[in-house]
Amino acid sequence: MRIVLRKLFWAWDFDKEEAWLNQKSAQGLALIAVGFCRYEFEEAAPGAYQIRLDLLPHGPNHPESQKYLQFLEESGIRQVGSLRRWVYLRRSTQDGAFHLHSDRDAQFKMLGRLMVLLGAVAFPNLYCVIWNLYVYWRYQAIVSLFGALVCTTFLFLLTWGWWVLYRKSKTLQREQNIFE
Amino acid sequence: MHNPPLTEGVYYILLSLLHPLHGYGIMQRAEALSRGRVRLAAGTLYGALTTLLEKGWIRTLENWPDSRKKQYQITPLGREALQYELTRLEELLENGKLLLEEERI
Repeated sequence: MRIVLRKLFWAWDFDKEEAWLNQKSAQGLALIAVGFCRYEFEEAAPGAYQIRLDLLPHGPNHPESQKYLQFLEESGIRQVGSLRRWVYLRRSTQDGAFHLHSDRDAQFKMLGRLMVLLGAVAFPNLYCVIWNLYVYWRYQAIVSLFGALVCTTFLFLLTWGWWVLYRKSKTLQREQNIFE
Repeated sequence: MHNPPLTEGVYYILLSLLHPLHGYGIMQRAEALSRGRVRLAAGTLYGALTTLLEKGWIRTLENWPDSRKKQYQITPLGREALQYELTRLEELLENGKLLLEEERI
């Protein structure tokens, strides 16, 4: 039987999303497809699969990504879905612990990619705030003031996300100073 | 050859590839060689293999019989890097032992 659940996770909370999906797997719901705020599961033996999320440098259909996903498949890791550059991967628990990145460099790279993506969304948003404020100041258009407020709220959210990722990368860096 | 120290992961990948292996085989071999201590994650292994291929330390084997999976093997340049690393590790070990022995005396 297929079950669809809807839940929102911010991009910077990918570890919470991963934990939630693994919790569902432990309850006997194996992830089979993903969409925007939409997760499709099928019934399976409790804990049969482990789920990991990965942010690819390119889209999932890019030749480089295809090579990477092919390599993962050869290692017993199946792609169950993708959402823009995010891929959702699962592996049978019988094959042992499932980790995608055992080195800190790869973890740094993934956090860095996500920070760049957030920045790429934040900067046009900042431009929108400034433009809307200018239009409001110049023509007293209330709609522009509303636009500026919406964009500012979104900008604060993105800045918060960027800060969360920055703290995660700093924690990793501190560990790297001690361990190889 | 003068290389910076290899990471444990890369060291065990090169050791594993003294004989042809595919990705999952490398993970299993590295884990067995290190008695379960070094567990290479698939994403990390892919990144390391890509870099090692670019450096010419390993190569892929085309048309490996009875296998759809891509197989890898160390090259003479990779063996040289491995030998250099081994010499470096021996030096670390010898110096450590020597100085600790002197402390005891």
